Amino acid sequence: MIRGRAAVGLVQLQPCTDLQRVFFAAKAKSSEFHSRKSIYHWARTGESLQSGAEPMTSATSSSVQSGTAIASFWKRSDVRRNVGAYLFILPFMILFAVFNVGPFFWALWLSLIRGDLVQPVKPFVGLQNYVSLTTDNITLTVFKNSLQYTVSVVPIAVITALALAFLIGNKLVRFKDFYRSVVFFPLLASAAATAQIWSYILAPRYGVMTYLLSFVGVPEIYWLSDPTFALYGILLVEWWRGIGFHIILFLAAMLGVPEELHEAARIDGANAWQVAIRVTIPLMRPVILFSVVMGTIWAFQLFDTVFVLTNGGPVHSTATIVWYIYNHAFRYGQVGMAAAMGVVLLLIIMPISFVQMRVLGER
Amino acid sequence: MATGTKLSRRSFLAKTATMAGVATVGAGLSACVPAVPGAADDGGGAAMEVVTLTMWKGPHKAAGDETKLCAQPTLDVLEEMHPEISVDFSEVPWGQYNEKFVSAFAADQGPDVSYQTESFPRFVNSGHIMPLDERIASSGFDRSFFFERAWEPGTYDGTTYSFPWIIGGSNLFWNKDLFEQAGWDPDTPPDTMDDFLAISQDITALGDDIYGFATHPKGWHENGQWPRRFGGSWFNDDLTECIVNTAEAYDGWHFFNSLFHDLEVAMPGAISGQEPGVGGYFRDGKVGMITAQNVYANSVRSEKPEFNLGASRMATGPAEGARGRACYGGVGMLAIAAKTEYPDESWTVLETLVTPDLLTSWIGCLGFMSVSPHVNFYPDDPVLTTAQTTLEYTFFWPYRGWIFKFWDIEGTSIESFVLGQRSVEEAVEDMVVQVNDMLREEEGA
Repeated sequence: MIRGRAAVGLVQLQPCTDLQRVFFAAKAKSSEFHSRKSIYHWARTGESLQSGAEPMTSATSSSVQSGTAIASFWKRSDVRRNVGAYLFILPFMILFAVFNVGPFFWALWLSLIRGDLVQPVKPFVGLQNYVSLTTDNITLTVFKNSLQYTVSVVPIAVITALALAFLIGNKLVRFKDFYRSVVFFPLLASAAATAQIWSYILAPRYGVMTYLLSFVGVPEIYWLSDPTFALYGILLVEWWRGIGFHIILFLAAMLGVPEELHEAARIDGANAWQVAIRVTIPLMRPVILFSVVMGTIWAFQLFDTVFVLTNGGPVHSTATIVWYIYNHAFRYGQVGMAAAMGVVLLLIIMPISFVQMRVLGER
Repeated sequence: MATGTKLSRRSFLAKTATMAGVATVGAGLSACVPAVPGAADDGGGAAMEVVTLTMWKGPHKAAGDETKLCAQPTLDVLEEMHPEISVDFSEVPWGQYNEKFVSAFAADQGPDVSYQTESFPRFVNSGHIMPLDERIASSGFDRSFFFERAWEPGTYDGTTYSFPWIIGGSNLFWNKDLFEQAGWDPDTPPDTMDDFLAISQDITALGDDIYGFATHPKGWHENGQWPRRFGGSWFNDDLTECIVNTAEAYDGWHFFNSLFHDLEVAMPGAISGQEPGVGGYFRDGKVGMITAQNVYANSVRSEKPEFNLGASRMATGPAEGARGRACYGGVGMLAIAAKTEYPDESWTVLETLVTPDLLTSWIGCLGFMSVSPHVNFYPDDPVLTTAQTTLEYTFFWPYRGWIFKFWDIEGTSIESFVLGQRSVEEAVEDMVVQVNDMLREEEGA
C-alpha cells in the first residue's frame, strides 16, 4: 500500500519536469522525511509530493537547465544522502534495462524487418509486417479467440474468487490456512504438468470429468477436440490454475477492512449480504482493480496451456495471439511478423488496462 | 580506543549496496563470457586433453528412457573408442526443439553435433551447418553404406550437409485378436482398399465402441498420404505449387472422409484427438487398424506385452507401384555446427555413430529402421523386420524451412473436414490457396 500510494504520487507528475519536481518536493518534505514516522504518515495519507512542493520559479528552473545542472544535482544533500538507496536499486535497474527495456525496443525494430531469427541478415521492410497482419485470416481468428477468452475468463475468475474468498474468510470456517494453500497450489505447479493431467481428466472415454458429469445426465463433451467447446475447456483449466492468485489477494484485502465498519453497518441493520456489497467490496476496490487488470493481461498472454493441451486446435479454435507469435518466431521463421503481433498485443492491452483503471479506479 | 572511521547504519547500508551492485554487475559480465568447451577437463589429464562436445537430439521414447537405455550406453562405447572425446548429450523435448535450436544458432551457440529433421534447411541457409563433402571425400567414407534415398534430405544444391542416421516410416498395424473376432485371418493384412474397407466394417460391427480404423484428426504425417494412394501428389516437381486438388487426389480425400462420415468405420476425430489418443485406443482393443511409425511397435510391447500385434505395408489404393501403398517416411540426420571449435572431433563422432554396432545400439534400440542396407537391426523380430522392408513405400515430406507452416496448414485443413466443420472441397481448396500463398511468399523472400 505504501509503495502503491507513493507510486501514484509520482505518476501524477508531469513527464517533462518529473525529475526536477521530485527533488524540489523532496526538499520541501525533507523535514518530514527526517522524522521517524513522517514517511509512514506521508504514505498513509496518500499526500502527493506535488502538494507540498514549492512552485517552480523561473530562477530555479533556469538554474537546473543550465550547464551546471548535473553538478548541482550531485551537490544536493538529499541526493548524496540517498546514494545508498540508488545503489540498492541499481542491480534491479540494470537487469530491468537489459531484460525488459532493451528487448522492448529490439522487438520494435524486429517488427520492421523480415526473415528468420537465425539469418544473419534480415531485410528492412518498414510497416509491411503490420499490413500483412490485416490480410491474414488466422491472425483475425487468434485475436478474436484471445478477446473471447479474456472477456469470459476474467469476470468468471474474479467473481468466483471473490465468492470463495468470502467463504474461506468467514469467521465460521476453520483451517483457513489449509484452504489458502489448497487454492494457491495450482499456481505453484508446473503449467505443462498440470495441463497434461487435465488432458486425461477431460478425455472423452476415460476422463474423470465425463464420468462425473454422467451422474447428472450430462452427455459426453469433447472438451478439447470439439471446436465449439475447446476454448471453454482451456478456460476451465486456466480458471483452476489462476483462481488461487485472486483468492489470496481478496483474502488479504478483506482482512484490511476495519472491523468497526462491519460492526457499524450491522448496528445500522445491514445483513451479511448488505455488509459485503455495501462495505467490504467497495473497500476492496483497489485490489479488485489490480486483480482485473492482471487477469486481463494474463488472459491475453495465454500460451502454455494451449500449447500443451490443444496446440491451437481443433481448427484454430483455441489459437491465441501468443501461441501464434510463438509459431511465427520459432516454427515459421518469420520473426518480423511475430514482433509485429507482439506490438499490436501491447497496443490492445494498454488501452484496455487504462479503461479498466479509469472505470474501476474512480472514486 | 578506536578513533578511526565509525560504521554508522547509513554508511553500512551504502557500503553493502555498493558491494551488492558491484557483485551483480560482475556476475552479469562474467555470465556473458562464453564457457570454454572442455574446460572442466583441462586440469585433469596431463597426458591427454579431452574435448567435450555438445550433442542435442529430440527424444524418441518408444523404447522407454532413450538416454539411459540407448544413448548413454552407445556414447560410453564411443568414448572408449575415442578417449580424447567426451560427448555431453542432451535430449531436447520436441515442444522446445524449435525455440532452443533457433535461439542457440541465432546466438552462434549451437551444439557441436545435432540431430536434424525436416526444418534443417533453416540452419543450412543461414550458414550454421558445416558442409561435409570434403570430409567425406578425404576420409574415404563409402557413400553406398547408406540407402541412396537417405542422402537426399541432407543435400542442398549438390552439397551434403548431414549424415543420415534414422529412417522412420509408417506401417499398417493391426490387432490380430479383433481380426479373428471379425472372422478374418489374423495373419493376413488387407491387400487392397476394398479389403481394408471390408475388414474395417466387420470390426466396427463388433460393437461395444469398437472401430475398424482410427487416426488423429490433425495427424499430418499419416492423413496426408491418402491422396497419394489414389494417384494424387502434393507438389509439382520443383516444389513451387501445391497440386493436391486434382481429381485423383480428391478421390483419396473423399475415400478418407467417407471412413468417418458415410461409412462410419473410423473412430470419430473428436474422440481419437484426445487422450489416450490413437495409439492408446488401439492398444486398448478399441481399434482394429492404424497407420503409425514403426517405433510404435515398441510402445505397444512395453505397455501391453500380451498384445497380438500385426505389422505390414499399407493396403494399396488405385495408384500404381509404391505410391498406392504410400506411408509417411522421414530421415533424421546428424549435422555439425559450422562454428564448432572442434570440427575434427565432431566429424569423428559422426563417423563413429554410424558404424554398424553403434547404429544398432542406439537407433536399433529405439525401434527405427536402419539407414543402411548393410545393417539389419532386427533379424530375430518378424514384426520389426517386416517394418524394415516397407521403406520403399515411404514418402518424405519436402525438407524445407517452411515445413512447419505447411504442416499446420495441412493438419488444420484436414482436421476441419474430419471434424465435420467444412466440406472436403472447402477445406482442400482453402488449403491449396494457403499453401500456394506460402510458397509464393517464400519464393519472394
